[in-house]
Amino acid sequence: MGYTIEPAMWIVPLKNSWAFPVIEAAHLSGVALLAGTILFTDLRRLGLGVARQPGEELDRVFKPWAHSGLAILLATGAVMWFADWGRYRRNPAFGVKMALAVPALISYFVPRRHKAIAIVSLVLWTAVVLAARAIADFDI
Amino acid sequence: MLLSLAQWVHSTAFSAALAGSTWAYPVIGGLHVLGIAWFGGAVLLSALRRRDREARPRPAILWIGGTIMFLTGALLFATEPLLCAASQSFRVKMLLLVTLAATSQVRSKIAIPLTLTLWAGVLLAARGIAFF
Repeated sequence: MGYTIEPAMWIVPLKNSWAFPVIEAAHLSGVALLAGTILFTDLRRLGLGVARQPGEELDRVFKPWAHSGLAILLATGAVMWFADWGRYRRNPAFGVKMALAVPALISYFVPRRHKAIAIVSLVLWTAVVLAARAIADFDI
Repeated sequence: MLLSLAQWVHSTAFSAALAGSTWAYPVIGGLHVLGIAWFGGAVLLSALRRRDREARPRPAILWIGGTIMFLTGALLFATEPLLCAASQSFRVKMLLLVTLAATSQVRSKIAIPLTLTLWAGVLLAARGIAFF
């Protein structure tokens, strides 16, 4: 590597403290908010009978929850990355997750009126969550 | 009680097969977390329904998420029964879940904040199993 990243020194000790599981739990609640609302919007879009409301109404009501979830995910995710960046750089599951998270986020901001986009979004977000959970299993 | 249950589960061939498998734990763990996403979305959806009197509530949505989490949770316990029994966080999580079940019929103003606080505690304790 021709460069090094120096994380702020106050953040590194977090990885061995009680704060780390607390931040991870907050990250999980972000998953419940963002992935949960996306899941049900997509299922509604596919007409799978999970909601009677029109898709546009679900979008409108879910939006503040989904965006709070995204903000929580980005903030807690960044803290975890800076606290233990060496671990995440070596972890193949983390690489897969981030590579999937980019198109998943793009599919979230694309208008999901088309059923094909709803299917792509469902597959991508499911894969992101599975890869994220797998980070714990692929520490090398 | 928890320890003897854990020891019994540990002694079964099923538990040994789960623990010996490379993919069982990551796959079941992934499904367990997907269950959390399902549950979060379902809670918001049912809150929306309660506001909209026209739409008949369909509690099956919540039950599906709950069932996924319960079944995959039981399998995770079967994979690592002794680790769970030794973890203080696991005991706290189980106590909180029992409290949630016991208070599920409470109908008052504090019901929603109470439930949300208990679920937040469950999430915290659940994450703590890997640490404490």
